[in-house]
Amino acid sequence: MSDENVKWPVLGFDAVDAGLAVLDRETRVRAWNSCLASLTGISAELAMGKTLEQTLGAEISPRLLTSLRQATELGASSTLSHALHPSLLPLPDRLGRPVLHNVTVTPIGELGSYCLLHVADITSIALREKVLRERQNARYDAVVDSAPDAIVTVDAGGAIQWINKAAESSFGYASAEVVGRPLAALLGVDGLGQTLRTVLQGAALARPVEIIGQHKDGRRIDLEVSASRWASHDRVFVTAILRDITARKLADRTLRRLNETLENIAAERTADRDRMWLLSSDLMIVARRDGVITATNPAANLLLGATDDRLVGSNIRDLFMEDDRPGWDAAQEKLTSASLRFELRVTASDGKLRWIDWNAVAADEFLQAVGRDITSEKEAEFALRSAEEALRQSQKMDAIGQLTGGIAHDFNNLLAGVIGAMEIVKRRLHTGRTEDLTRFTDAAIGSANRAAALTHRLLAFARQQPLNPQPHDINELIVGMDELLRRSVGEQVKVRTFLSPSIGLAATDGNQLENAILNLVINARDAMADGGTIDIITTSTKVNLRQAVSMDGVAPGEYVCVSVKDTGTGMPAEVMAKAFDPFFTTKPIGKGTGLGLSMIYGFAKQSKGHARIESEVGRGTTVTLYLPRTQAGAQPIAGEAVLQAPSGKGETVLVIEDDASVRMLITEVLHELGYAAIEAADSRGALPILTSDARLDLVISDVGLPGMDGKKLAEIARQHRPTLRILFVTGYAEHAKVRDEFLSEGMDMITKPFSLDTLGHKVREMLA
Amino acid sequence: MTQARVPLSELEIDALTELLNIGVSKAATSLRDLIGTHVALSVPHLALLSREEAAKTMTEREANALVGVHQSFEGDLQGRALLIFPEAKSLELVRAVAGGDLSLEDIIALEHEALAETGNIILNNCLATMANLLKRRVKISLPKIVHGTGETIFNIGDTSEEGDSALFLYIDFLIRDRDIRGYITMLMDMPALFALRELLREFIERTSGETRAE
Amino acid sequence: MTKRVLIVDDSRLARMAVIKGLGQLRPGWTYVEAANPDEAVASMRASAADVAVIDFNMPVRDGLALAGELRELHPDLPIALLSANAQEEILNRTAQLGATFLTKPLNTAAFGAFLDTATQQ
Repeated sequence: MSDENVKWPVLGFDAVDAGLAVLDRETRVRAWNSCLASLTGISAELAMGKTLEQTLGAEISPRLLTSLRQATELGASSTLSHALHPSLLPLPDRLGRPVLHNVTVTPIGELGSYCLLHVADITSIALREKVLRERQNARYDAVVDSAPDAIVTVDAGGAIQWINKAAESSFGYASAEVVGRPLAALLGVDGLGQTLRTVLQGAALARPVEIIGQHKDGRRIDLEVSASRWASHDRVFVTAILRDITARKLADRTLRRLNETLENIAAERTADRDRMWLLSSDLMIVARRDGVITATNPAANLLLGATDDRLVGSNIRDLFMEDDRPGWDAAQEKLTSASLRFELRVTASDGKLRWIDWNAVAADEFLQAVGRDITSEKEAEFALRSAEEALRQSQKMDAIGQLTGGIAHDFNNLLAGVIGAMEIVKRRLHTGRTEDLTRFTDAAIGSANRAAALTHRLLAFARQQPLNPQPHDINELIVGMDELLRRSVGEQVKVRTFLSPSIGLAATDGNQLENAILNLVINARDAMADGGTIDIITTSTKVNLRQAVSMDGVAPGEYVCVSVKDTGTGMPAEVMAKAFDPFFTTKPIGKGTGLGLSMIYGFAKQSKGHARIESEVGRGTTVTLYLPRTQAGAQPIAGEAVLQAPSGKGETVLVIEDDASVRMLITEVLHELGYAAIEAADSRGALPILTSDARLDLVISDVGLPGMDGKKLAEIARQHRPTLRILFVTGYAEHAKVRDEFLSEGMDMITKPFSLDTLGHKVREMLA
Repeated sequence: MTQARVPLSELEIDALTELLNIGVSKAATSLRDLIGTHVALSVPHLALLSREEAAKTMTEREANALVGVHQSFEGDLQGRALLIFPEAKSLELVRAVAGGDLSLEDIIALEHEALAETGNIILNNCLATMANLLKRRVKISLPKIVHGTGETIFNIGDTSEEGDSALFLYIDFLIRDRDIRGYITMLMDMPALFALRELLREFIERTSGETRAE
Repeated sequence: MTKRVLIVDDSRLARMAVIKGLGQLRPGWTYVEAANPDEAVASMRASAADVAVIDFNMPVRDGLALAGELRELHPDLPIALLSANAQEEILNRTAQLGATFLTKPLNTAAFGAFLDTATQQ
């Protein structure tokens, strides 16, 4: 080899930026380049010929020795990295830092002779990388080790490469236990396979994944997992943060279960309430305590003419009729959690007033009111009262009205008896208990019989004939009642009788008089709560015409008087004025129906007599009955109206009247007069009769019939029967109108209220 | 194109296995010295396959990515030796040999080097032992790292050079309670195999004192 | 005196190597081969050998485990453990069992030394 050719390799040898040495089989140095010299701090001159160990003045690692041997003996090349060896060669520190180096050993030259030692200084690279890593690690570690959430890194195969402290405590495994194992080894479950695959593919998780994991001891752990992938040195990893949401999940589950339970309960209740709210025909209103409405149900909306929520926001107070608003104010103040009941009127959508029976409560900050429309009941009540008022408007208080009230009351009781008994029978039959039924059926029959008796009495009354008018010695009668009366008043009340002699006989029904006197005495007793004296006084008197007028239609003549006088509380003028009114009572509920005096009055009137009250507050009350004086065996002195003997020869009268009781009364009168009567409740019922060929001599028709009015009916009737006589029954107001407008030949009219006498006269007149 | 395979008799296979057994055992010893904890090795299973068969077997055994350390050898014997791991396991091996205190990043950074040296130790021991016992010399290159699959990992380098035969060994390492399985493959061409057979026969003779068995 | 040697190794070649060595060092002695630990135990039960040479690196049960079993059956049996795997742990366990460790490939001198001690027992 020429010098030139040799030169370059040699130059090259020393120029190489790595330590190079050639060693023989005994590790003796054959060559030592400059770089190695500076790395080791040992010059080539010093190194040459010595063994490596001798040169370095220190022991070399077994691995290196083996490598050297394998190279020279076997021809094997070796690589020794600082990764596995902290220090392969004892290189002195440079700049105060150790020299990190990799070493390779390769056979060189003839096999089995020499090897080449190659030392690479990787300090800077390694350091830089290490520093970078450490810095990253430090940053990373600081975050990650102190992170409360478990953080796990897995490789592309799903094997755990690293877990942080939080992960260790979360799952109960030491890092070494799980590194290298599949993720499922840590989590206890294999739930993240898909997630990992997704993330490994580079897709981001749309939202954190929730899985259920398991602590080493078996405890359930709910986890929220987010993960992302990263790469380093051509390897792909996934780092996942596993947040322990066990507590949160438990709370969620508990809360959800609780809510479901509550919701179910609430839903059921709500559904029920909703149904009631929607379907109820009663009005339902919810409002704030100050009355501002927050909700109205369909029934309320319908009645009050509101669509949906129109009423919301207005005040309940405004719903009520003006006069009733004070009533609402009072009720509103009294509202508590217990329900308050009251009746107040509202203005309905059609402008009419409606009576509502309210039940209201106050709850929390709201008040709730449920109202039932009782208008029709009220109207019925009013109608009754109006009818009574109308009846009473007349100068003559019509005893029928008053008596009917009393009888109706009795009737109700009897009917209740029948119904009650029947209901028990029905129940018993339903459950198969048929023993003892006769007791109840007997009771029902008994009540029904008594009701029949009442009806009979009513009918008898309608004929205006006393049931059993006889001349009576009143004094004798009263004496006969003495014991009964004393027993009735009790210990505290004293009864005195002042019976005038020679008062004569009174024409009356003895039983009824007894009843009347008994009632009066009991009334007197009730008026004297602390005891007192009752005087029963009999006199006779003469009533002249002038007096008779003020006595409500009584005929002038001679009368026997029975007075019952008490020393009780007395009554003020306005009460006295109404004392004989039916239903009028000053007695508390449950004591007296208010019918007693009216019935007495009715009885007096029926007897062709009169009843009168005198009273002074604090002094007492005196009720006097006037009964016509009679001769023994003589007929009672009757008033003008005298019932003549029936003269009818079978004439037929059609009565068209929608009020059943009035119709009945008219019919009775007709029967009394000897006529046959056909009844119809309205024009529809009447028309077939009118258009038939049946014998009809007279039609008595109410003008204001439902459906077709009387006038029209008359026209149709006259078409068929041109000569048919028609008697119209008109009200006061219509009287003039009817007279002027359609009264014609063969027609007449009679004004309500009319006495049956008057009716009888008219009928006879028209049929004569 | 079919290649006639060099048949090795049962005894020859046995002999080769024993050789490699010794080599792997020595490697274990070296590794143990390096790591400081016991390295347990399973008995290698040896098969003589074609390269194609080797690739197929590899794929059957390992579906996922593989990483390999390979060294070529030349001299009396020629070919390429590979130490193959499933990629998923290689980090474990590195962690096992490099120590447990390193952070994941450090381990990743050191992976190549650590793997290279570990592979180097194992392969050198195998090859050197073989060569030694066969009384031959080979020159073995420095280790290189290669990534691939069962299919591709055997196709590194100049395939025509290496030939079509493969000695296929399957070894289980147990290091630090980590079960790491690996494969050693030696790719050789026909002449090399023939040469190997000759050497084996000599070895058998030497060892057992028997004349060549058929 | 003649002793019988039990040779346990899954490699036939390895067994041949031992046989060869035995033939050189103790020509008169007999031997029995076993390819795995089960065979070895069966053989010992059938007719106990005087010396055992066991390969360490065997599948299923390694040589040390077998050595332990044999030691229980025959407390005084001279046992040699053969392996190229000369790791510390193996050396220790071998010593604990009262067995001798021999490296592979079989070194004639070391083998001879072992056989000497076996003869003396």
